[in-house]
Amino acid sequence: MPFYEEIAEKYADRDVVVMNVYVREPHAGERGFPEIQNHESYEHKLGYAKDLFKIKNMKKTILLVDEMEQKIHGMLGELPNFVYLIDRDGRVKYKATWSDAEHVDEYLAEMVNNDPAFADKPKLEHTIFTQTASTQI
Amino acid sequence: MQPANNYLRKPTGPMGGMWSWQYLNLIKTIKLVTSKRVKSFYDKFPAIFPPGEKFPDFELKDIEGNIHRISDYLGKKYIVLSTGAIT
Repeated sequence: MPFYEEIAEKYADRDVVVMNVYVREPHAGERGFPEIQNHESYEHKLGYAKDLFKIKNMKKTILLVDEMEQKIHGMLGELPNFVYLIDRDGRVKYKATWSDAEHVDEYLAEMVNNDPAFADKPKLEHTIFTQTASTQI
Repeated sequence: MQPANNYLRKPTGPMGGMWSWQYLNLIKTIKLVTSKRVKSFYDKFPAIFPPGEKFPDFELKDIEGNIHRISDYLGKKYIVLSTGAIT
């Protein structure tokens, strides 16, 4: 699916960095993932993060690994699929508690197209994502 | 032959897992929804870094062990920050 990977590629020359925080497994051991267990140690978590990196075929996405105490995830509200768009000055431009590929792309395109630094570059068009599970990762 | 206590087993249809029988227990559900913990979470949630607010700085290691800080990218890059998990 890797929709964040697509975003990272699309905006690679527009100073956009895509970061993904690997957090706890929300459905460990449940239907469809019987072999995935809750993390026992940081090394265990890191191993799963490396698997995710391979599964999603990440090339441009930075995959961060949260600490065992869920420090960052807790700070951000502990939701499994949030998304934040942060401006150059560190202010939140867009936030969703459940990320949607269409919305993320729409807001990013607007931010980048209105940026005077890219005035000489062609305007980026809004991508229509066709995956039904647009919210994955 | 079916075991006698077959009706006690969890349903294994497509709606198993999250929506299993224990979540259909109405009293439990009402207790959970009206509990102070859940209420306070949903009350405060919109207040966590709404649009226009300064995003906090933090640092985390990536899978190769390099440390990334939010402040390293400020003034240079737009950041798309999300979470990931295998399940």
